[in-house]
Parts: sequence; structure tokens; C-alpha cells
Amino acid sequence: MPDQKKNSSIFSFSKTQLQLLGSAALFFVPVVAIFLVVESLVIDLPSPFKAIGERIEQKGDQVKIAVFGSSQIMQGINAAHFTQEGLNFSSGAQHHNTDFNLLKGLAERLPDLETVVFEVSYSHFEIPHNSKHFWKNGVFLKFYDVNTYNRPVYLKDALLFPSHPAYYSERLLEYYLKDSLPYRYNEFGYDTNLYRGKFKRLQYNLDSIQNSKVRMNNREALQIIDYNTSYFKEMIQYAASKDWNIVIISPPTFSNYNAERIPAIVKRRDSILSEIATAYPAIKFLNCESDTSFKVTEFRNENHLNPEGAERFTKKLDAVINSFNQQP
Amino acid sequence: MLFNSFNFGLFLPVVLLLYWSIGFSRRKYQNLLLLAASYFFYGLWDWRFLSLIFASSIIDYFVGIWLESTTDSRKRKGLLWISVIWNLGVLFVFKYYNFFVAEFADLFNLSQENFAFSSLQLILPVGLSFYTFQTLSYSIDVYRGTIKATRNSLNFLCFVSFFPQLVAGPIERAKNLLPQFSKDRKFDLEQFKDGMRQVLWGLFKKIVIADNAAVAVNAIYGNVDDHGSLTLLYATAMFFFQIYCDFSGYSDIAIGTAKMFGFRLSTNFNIPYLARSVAEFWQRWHITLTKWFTDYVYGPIASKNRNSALLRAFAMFITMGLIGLWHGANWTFIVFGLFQAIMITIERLPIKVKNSTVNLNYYLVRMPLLFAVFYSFTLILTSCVFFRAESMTMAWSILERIVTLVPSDNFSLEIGNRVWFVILLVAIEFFTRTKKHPFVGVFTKFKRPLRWALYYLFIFFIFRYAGPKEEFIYFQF
Repeated sequence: MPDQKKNSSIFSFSKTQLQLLGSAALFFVPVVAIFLVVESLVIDLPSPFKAIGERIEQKGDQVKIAVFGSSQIMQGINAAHFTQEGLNFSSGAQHHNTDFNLLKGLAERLPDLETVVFEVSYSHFEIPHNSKHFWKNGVFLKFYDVNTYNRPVYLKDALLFPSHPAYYSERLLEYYLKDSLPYRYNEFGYDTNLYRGKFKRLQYNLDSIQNSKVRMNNREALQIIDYNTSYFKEMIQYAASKDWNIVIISPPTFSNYNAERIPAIVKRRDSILSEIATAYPAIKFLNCESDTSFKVTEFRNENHLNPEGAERFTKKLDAVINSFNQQP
Repeated sequence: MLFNSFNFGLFLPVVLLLYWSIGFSRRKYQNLLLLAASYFFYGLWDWRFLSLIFASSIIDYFVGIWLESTTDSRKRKGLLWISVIWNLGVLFVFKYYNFFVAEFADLFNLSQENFAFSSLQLILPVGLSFYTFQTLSYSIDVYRGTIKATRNSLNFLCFVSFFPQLVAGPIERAKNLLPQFSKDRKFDLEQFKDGMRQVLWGLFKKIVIADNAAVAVNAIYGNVDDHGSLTLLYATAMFFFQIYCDFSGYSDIAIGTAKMFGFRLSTNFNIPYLARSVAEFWQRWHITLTKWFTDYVYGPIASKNRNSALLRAFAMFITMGLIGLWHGANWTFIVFGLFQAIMITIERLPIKVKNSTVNLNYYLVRMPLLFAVFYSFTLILTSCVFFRAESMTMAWSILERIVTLVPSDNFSLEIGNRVWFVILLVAIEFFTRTKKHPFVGVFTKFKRPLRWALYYLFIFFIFRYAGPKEEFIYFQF
């Protein structure tokens, strides 16, 4: 190794160091190459976000309705059944903070937007908002070109696989190796094959369903309710300031789910909604939680509809949206 | 900047390239680069708190010089107090003020209106507990005369802010780390590669084990009332492996990174779950913190009367109580520490057997490893409940449900087959327990293709089985 102490150049590498650099390059080239291949395969996976992103590209300037919510709305609203051009931006575990970031980010890309639909389901105000590490932030950036990180975008944010390696690994295996990916997304990003679930497993047998355990968020969280409420009101205020029609929806839930609900949570939620109704009389509400017209065969499980149920629920929502136009 | 972040993956190679390529006035510019890199590393989290690190460094730097320049014991004590008050004062304000104010108000049933001290809206600066202890120990050591004060401000600034161990240790002593900034660093290929291997092992522990274990722990501890004895026991064991892999993973990355820069940091973990007793556990867990408290708290109290078992027990309770409090301003941490103190004191209680006096440790050392580990691990898991619970009420509720054998009808691993990684970790660490880290012997045992295949396998594990990204738990301490 040369005596670097006496070396008068600012930068110099010894032979050993150059060897190490060479070995490191040799070692990491396959890692980077495989990573890039995996990343491109992930981007090519069928996904509702990808379909919606393409729809925005094609018909963004014609979109009149934008729906925001969690998995209950993602699976409960099929935008194909709207009589006007609409898109459903809901996704699993998505909360109001992400909804609001999406709405603000999409506002310019949807210049003809007339109606926004927000979800307020049973314990919505008592569930914490998505964390700053919500893995779908990367998806929204990639496919909707919307920054939901609440911070500047970094280079790493452009990568999908690292945002949720476990999820994408499963999807890659299912799609490319096992050819068993069950999703069939239509051009609105709705999975028309979404019949699988607990109710189907129980062959829609009412006794079996009533005896089965209901999975639901039944925790009272008074410490976050004020923050969540004021955040939601801010969303409403934003939408109202844009002169958009606003609809607040609660999706249908099955009787065994409704029976397990804590009355105090329902009461608090309803009281917040009635406060909003007083402050914004133009807002319309569609609460289908106790709507008995939904049959057992229209549910996937206690609080998620299947495509048949989604068709019925979407048409109900569509009627509410159309009623805005019928007003004098 | 987190070690398991994309940013660090870019930052480290760039700094390393610049660091080893410097050919002119090498040591000085390498130290300057390290200082700049360290401040950048910390500043990315919150640049405002760089002023705290800088202030702590400057105060202790001058305290050290002034301590050495005077023999007047009153002046020397006064100088030491400046360092103690500054470092512990900063720690108190940022970390403990709100806790003590709230407890004081509770104790005397005072409301916010008639209580002069209101709580402060402060963010806890990352790594505060680590670097304040490091710089404080320097002043104490100079005061005691165990080390010489440095006159090189650049070296001292580097010693306090050295980025691999700045935010979560190991808590280095000036005696070990400071002289390394004064020596020329020669590029040692083997040390560099060993550092890379240790970083890989640390990343595996953090990303694959700790972050996946966190999923199970958060799911179960988030709904304690829904779970039975077995599930809570499982979650508590998973929590142990979560904090172990989180923190020791961080230490491995820190030590490995330091090796790549030509530095040797202290060992911080030594497979703590193989401890035969609670006392031994603390010789294997967060070793640099235990040593810090032993040297500066336990030692000075216990040495006042070496023959007094009562004084030793008292010193143990103070030390472990403070170790508990060091972890966070909450009664759960204090109880966590005191529980350890009780167990260590019991282990040291003299037992008379046939004209000789022994203690529990005597038997624990002699019994089969499996039984001794079962004993110590059970106690450590019990204390983990306090460590993880958000309140004492929650901790008691968990312990009650575990002890009363509430049925676990809905038992679920929560992370499925990923639980096997914990088994894999234990197996690997057990069979390589005499080594500093499991990859140490890889170089001599395997030829390059097999060695690289092994590294690729672990890189695959990291990418494929990464858990949801969690911040390092010990950052909050």
C-alpha cells in the first residue's frame, strides 16, 4: 500500500482499496439488477391503482364524481355503475388524512369534478389516521402522481417494492409463478371477481354466519375523536370552498355486525354528523348500515359487499348524486 | 437518518469513498469529514438540535481542560458540577420534566390552574440519553484522573458526535474512542469486510426479525383484553426478540460501520437470552450502559463500605431504578428496573450450606444451561411486560391474564411462518456464540462462491421478508 500520509494529492486510492471497490461492484451488480427486474414486475402487476391511474390519464377531464374511503367503499362502490364519469379512490385501511391528501392532489387533474363522496362508517372517528409510513403513499405517487407523504418526495419514494415487500412478494408469486392472482379489475379499478370471503365460505348460511366471530374495530378512542372530527370538518370545508357537492356515506353492514356495535360509538358518530348537517345543509347523507334490502348473498363478510352488493349500493349512491342536479 | 433507510444506503458509500480517498493531511481531513458527516446525519432528523450536541461538546471540552489546569479541589468539584448540571439538566428538561411535573401535580392533587409549573411542549431530541452520557463520562474521567483531557477540539467534537454510535450507542468511553481520533487510520481490508458482514447481520436482525416481531406484538398488545394467557405470553416473548434484535441490530450496524472507518467500538450485546441469571443478563444486555452505571453510580455508592450487603443492595436498587428511568419517563420503566434489582439482590442473598456460604448464582452457574436459561428468561419476560405496557394498569392486567391462564381461543401467530426467523436467529447465535457476530468465521470456512451465496441469501431475506418499517425503539431513549 502506498504511503498515503506523504501523498500530496487530495484524492487517492490504494491498490487494496481499488480491489475492494471492484469486488463490491461485482457483488452488488446482480443485487441491483435483480432489484430492478423485481421493481418492473411489480409495476406491471394488475392493480386497482394502476387502472385508476390510466383512467385519470384518459378521462380525468371528464370525471364528475370522486369517491374516497376505506376497503368498505373500495369494495362497495363500482364506478362502472355511475351514470356519470366517476372514480373510486378508496382503498383498504385508508383514512381521512390520506383521502384529503388525495383529494387536494387530484383537484387539478379532475377539472370537471362536481361531487365528492366521503365515507364515515361505524367507528371511523375513533380509528387513528394512517401513519406517515402508510405503504400506499408510494402507490399514489406512482399511479396518481399525488404526494400523500406530507413531505417532499425523495428518490426512494418512486420505488414500489420496498414500500411493502411482503405484500408485493406474495402478489409476484401469485401472478407470475402460480398464475393464481384472483383479481379481475375493470377499467375503473374495481375487482369484479370479489366474491371470495367468509360469507361464501359459510355458503351464505345464516345460522353459521350468526354463530361466527365478527372481526371489527370496537375500541372506544376518545383521545383521538376531537382531532379526527376537526380534520374531517376541514375536509368538508375544503370541498365546500370548491363548490363541490358533498355526499357522506356509510356502507351497508350485516345484522350480526350491527348487533356487535357499541351504542356509544354510534351515538358519538351520529352526533358529529348531525352537527355537520346543520353547518352544511347542502350535504347529502346515505347511511345504509341498517338497510335490510341488501341480501346475505350480496356480502363478502359482515362489513364488505361483493360485486352484486356493490352494484346495488353504487346505484343508490348514484341516485343521491343525481338528486343534486334535480334541485331547483 | 435511519440505518435501515435508503438515505443511509446512499450516504454511507459516499462518505466512505471520500474518507478513504483523502490523500492530503489525511487524519485531519478525515476527522473533519467525519464531523461534517455526523452533523449532517443528525441534522437530517432535526438540525435545530445540533446546537445541543455542539453545546454539550464545547462545555465538556473546556471543563476537561480547566479540570486539568487546576489542583484546587473546590474548583475541580465546581467544574465537574458544571458538566453534570448541564448534561443531566438538558436530559431532565427534554425527557423528564413533564413526567415529574405531572407526578408532582398528581401527588398533591394540583390542577394546572393553581400549579405554577405547566408542562412543556418539547420534542425529545434523538439520541440525547446516549451522547449526554458519553460526554458526561469524559468529564468525570478527567476529574478522576483516569484519562487526560484532550486539547484537540476537532477530535473531541468527533468523539461526541461520531455518527455510527451517535443516536443509539454503544455509549463509548473517552478512554476507548477518543484516542482513535488521534491515530492515523490505515485501511485494513479484513476489518472493512468484517464491518460489512456485521452490518448485514444487523440489518437482518432489525428488518427481518424486529420489524416482523413488532407486527405480532402491536397486534396483541393493542387489544390486551381480547387475548388469553398463551397469546400474551407469546407476544411478550416476541417483544423480547423485537427489542433485542432492534437494539442489538442497531449496535451491530454501528460497530460494523465504525469498522469500515477504521474504528473499534465496544461490544454492546452478547446473546442475552443465554444468560443463566438476571445478573448475568445485565452483563450481556446493553453492556455499555450497564458499565456506565456500574462505574458512575453503583461503584461509588457500594464502595463506601464494601462489607455491607445492605449498602450493596441499596446501590443496586438506585442503579437499576435509574437504568429503568433512563429508558423513559414512565412508572413502567422504573418498575422494570426495580424488578431487576429485586431479582439480582435475591440471587446474591447468602445461603448457608454445610459450613459454607453460597448464593443462588452458585447453583445457577452449575445447573444445566437449559434450566438456568429457563429461570432467567422467565424473569426477563416478566419484566418485559412492564417495559412494553403503556401503563402500570395495562402491565398488571397482562400479568393477571397470563397467570390466571385465561384461555387463548383466538390464538394466532399474527406473522405466520415468519416466526421461524426467530428460531433461525436463536440457532445461528447459539452455534456461533463464541464469536463477536455470526459472520465472523465465514471468511475462513467458505470459499468465495459459497460465501457470496450466503450473503445473497441474507440480502434476499432482508428484501423478501422485511417487516413494516419501524423506527429503532432505542431512538426514543
